[in-house]
Amino acid sequence: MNSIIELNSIDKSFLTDEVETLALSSIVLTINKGEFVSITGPSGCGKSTLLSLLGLLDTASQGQFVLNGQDTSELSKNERAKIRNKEIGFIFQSFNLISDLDVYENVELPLTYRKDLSEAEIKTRVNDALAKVDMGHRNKHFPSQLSGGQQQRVAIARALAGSPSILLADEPTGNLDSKNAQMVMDLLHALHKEGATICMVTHDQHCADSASRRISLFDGRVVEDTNLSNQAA
Amino acid sequence: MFRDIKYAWRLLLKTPSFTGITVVVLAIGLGLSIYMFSIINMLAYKQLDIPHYERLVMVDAVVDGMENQGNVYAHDYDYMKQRQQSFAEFSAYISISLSLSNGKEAQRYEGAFIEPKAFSLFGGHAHLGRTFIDSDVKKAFIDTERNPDHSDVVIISYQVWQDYYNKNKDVIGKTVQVNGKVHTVIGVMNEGFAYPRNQSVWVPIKVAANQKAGQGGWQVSIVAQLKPNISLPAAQQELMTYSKELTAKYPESNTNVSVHSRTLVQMMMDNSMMIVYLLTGATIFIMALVITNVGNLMLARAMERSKEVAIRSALGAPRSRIIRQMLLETIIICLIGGFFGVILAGWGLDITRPLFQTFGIGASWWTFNLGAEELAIAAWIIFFTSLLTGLLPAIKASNSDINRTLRDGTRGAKSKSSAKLTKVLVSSEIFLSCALLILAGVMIFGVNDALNADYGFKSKGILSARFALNTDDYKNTVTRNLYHQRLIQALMKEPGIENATSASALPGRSSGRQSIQIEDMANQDKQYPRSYFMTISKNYFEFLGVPILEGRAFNDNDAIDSLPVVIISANFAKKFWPNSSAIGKRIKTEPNNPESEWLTIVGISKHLIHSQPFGDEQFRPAIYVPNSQLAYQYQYIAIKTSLDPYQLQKTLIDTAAKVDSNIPLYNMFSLSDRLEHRVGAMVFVGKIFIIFGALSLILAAAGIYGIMSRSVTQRTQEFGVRRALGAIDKDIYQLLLKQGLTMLFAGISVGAILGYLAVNMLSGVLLTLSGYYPAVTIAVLSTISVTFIAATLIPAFKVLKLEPNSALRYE
Ligand SMILES: Nc1ncnc2c1ncn2[C@@H]1O[C@H](COP(=O)(O)OP(=O)(O)O)[C@@H](O)[C@H]1O
Ligand SMILES: [Mg+2]
Repeated sequence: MNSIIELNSIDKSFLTDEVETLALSSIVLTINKGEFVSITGPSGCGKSTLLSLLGLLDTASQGQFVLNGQDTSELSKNERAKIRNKEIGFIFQSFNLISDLDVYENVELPLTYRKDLSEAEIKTRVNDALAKVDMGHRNKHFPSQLSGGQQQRVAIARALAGSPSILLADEPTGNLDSKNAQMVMDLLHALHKEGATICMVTHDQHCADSASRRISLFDGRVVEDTNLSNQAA
Repeated sequence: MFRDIKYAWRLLLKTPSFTGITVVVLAIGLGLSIYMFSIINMLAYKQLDIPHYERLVMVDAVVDGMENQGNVYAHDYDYMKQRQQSFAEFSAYISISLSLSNGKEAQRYEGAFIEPKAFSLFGGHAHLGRTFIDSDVKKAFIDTERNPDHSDVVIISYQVWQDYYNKNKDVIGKTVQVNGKVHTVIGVMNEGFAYPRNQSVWVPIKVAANQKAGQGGWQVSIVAQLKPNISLPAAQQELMTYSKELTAKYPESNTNVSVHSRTLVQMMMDNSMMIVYLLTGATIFIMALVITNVGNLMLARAMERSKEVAIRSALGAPRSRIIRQMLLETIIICLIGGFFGVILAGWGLDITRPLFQTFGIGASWWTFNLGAEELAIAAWIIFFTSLLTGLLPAIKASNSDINRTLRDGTRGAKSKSSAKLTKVLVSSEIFLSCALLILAGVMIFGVNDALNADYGFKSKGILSARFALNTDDYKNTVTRNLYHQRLIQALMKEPGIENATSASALPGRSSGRQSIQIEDMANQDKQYPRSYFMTISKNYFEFLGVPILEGRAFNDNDAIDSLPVVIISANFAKKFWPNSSAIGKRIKTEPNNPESEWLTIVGISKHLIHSQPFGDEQFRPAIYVPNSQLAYQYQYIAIKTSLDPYQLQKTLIDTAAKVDSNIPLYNMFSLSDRLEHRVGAMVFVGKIFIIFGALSLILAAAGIYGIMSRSVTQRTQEFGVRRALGAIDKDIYQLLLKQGLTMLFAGISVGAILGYLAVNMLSGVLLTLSGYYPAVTIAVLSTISVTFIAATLIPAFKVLKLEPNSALRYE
């Protein structure tokens, strides 16, 4: 199959103040190209930890993680950064826009870390990405001048600008009111329709169910893995 | 309130390392500035116990545009005194060494010829007997050295009464020989009275009615008291009018001669005004660094608690209460730091007291301890410091947006204002420390130069003393020269003494300067050139190891009735005979006086520094005439030994007593000590600047590191985001350096400019400094730049060691 992500018996533990927390244990998971996976579970069950492993923001304590056919344990720090830049798009619950940069510069940011793009190319990509989230008219605004929904749309544009092979979203609607949340969900669905692979952590039952596949975690383990593609909108 | 204090105290104890560091930084900074401001206050502003002290004015002669170069001609003084309207009192004095002798025991004291008014002018009163009255003063100006005709009354200080008369109450009316002439003691002054500086014997000055105008002649120092409603500039202007009249009337003696009035407050500081400004500036800079550092520490503390504060104010706690709480902590810390600072300052004053007493001017008036005045200064400094350090965190706390703090959706420097604050703080630290370090570096090199200056002679192993020949036994040059020769011969026979000489002045021991007329040379400047003028024994140059570059030294053929001869210093020769030999040319020391003899130049000596090795003074020329042709009443004797010169003190005194028991030696010093005393102030300034330099480097390094690491740590989440988006470590370092470079550049350019201005201001006045500016500046700027870059990259390195995930989760 066309698998993007393969996790084999992944464990992740944190050591804080001499106490070891096992955040994830024996996770086995495969995600294919074009899937829209929602990850649910109670708070503290390890959803964000899982997502950060998928996004190479952290390394597993045990087990194997193959991304696009490559074993990630062999990657250097800089290679991991390069993969995050090219293959992965992040959307965070708290948007994580950089306050000193305006909308355009925020979206441009991941592209500036690639050394192989021309100015003109960057410009088209940024404008395309902003157009996709309908934020093209706010180029020169700073994050503090935008509403939460607008900020999250800019964050999505930033994730899209690099044309990643997978989008990772950690509770993207968590800080939004229902109207804005719906708008963001519509956007993600539209992207999914265009062929994007998406992994989304959510608390919201409705959001979770609108994905093509739903994974439930409990206490660091996968307790449910349901394919929903037929019911989905 | 008390509960708040207790709470603040508890919070401080909960973070002992923070409290400790802050207290140490404050104690050092406050200690140094309390110390410095105590000294500056003492030098510059301390009210002495003198009525209308602030209105007392010294009037100095200005010759060739140089202030304080010699005193005012007695005739000119009289001329101005008759006419002036600006001063309530206008009084002359002459400082002079006087010996007291009761026939058995002779003792030498610093004394002065003064006018009766001077006692009340300086707040003195008689402890016993009375002070002078007008009838004590006769109508003739005293001839200080050649032909003393002293009045017959004398007043002594409390100290002399105690030491010389064992506090004998019957001293009034007793007679005593003052410089060999019988005087009656009419008064004992109050304890501590030492007018004009450190004098302890006073004889009335006699105003000259017959002082001839236009021929220079005897000179006096003038002290005056301004009328209450007259300003110093107005008074100065009035005196300048008379000065111009005198120049017009007597161009030969008064061309380019005028007067300059300074308040006693200014006079006390003399040339050290510059040093006072310099020290004040440097201290303020150090204090600014301390305040920035402590302010930053307090700010960091406030930021750490900003979430707590936001929650509390969200819950309804009044903001004023929160700010008060923070201010209380600052005040407590400043008080503790201030307490230790005062102890440090007191200790510093203790150890520098002996040093200051060698400075001379007014030293006997200065008190060196933490009195009420110094403690008041300390209280002000501590007050301002706590205000300024408490200000930053308080403003920060009152500005912060609760909502923002509680739910910050963006990642970056916590807010624009915080980033701006970081920039301001860091740039200030950089420019303050750069300017201070440049100044300190240049000063240290300059002082070092001055201390290692080549005086042009060998000062090691030389002991010198002064003596005065009484005029009854030694009336003229022949008898005086005979005494010199006998003393020298006797000394040379003593074991341990390798050589001996005598002269009217020795290097490092001041000598007068004389106007010189050169034969057959038009006087371009309308003003006769001035030169140090010394009468010396024939072995003077050999004794000091100074080579004769051209011509010859003096010898036995230079007798009283042979051709009058003179030796000039190399720079004198070079100035007036740049292209020909000076040998055989003739000069005279009393221009246009037909009775003054022409002196034929027979030798040119290598230049040697007669006064201070700084500024212009070191280049002043000198001329020398042989004692066999001219000998004054006052003279120095010097011996050379390979032993510690002070071991020969007794030999020197005893030998002199054997030659003539009526001539006491006084003012005994090793020449190297004497030279060191003259640069004592410089040594002090040099040491202070080493402390300033070291301290500013430590404070700047600690401060810059503190601020930068906080600023970087604050951006942990932002870096997490950037790394999530694909930034590699190099991208982050580059970003930080690029952003830091503006701060660095702004800081070092302002610092370099300030440093340049300071160095330029000082150069030439005190030392020759500017030559060191480029090298010191490059060294300082690179040190600070490296410090800054390290302070930026090291915390970033720590943050980048975290997985991006942890950085993103960082609170
Ligand atoms: N960087 C970390 N350091 C220490 N503990 C962590 C870290 N990240 C997550 N944890 C712990 O791992 C567990 C799972 O956390 P997380 O994945 O954030 O849960 P969720 O996102 O499902 O609410 C929690 O107990 C959390 O405290
Ligand atoms: Mg989570």
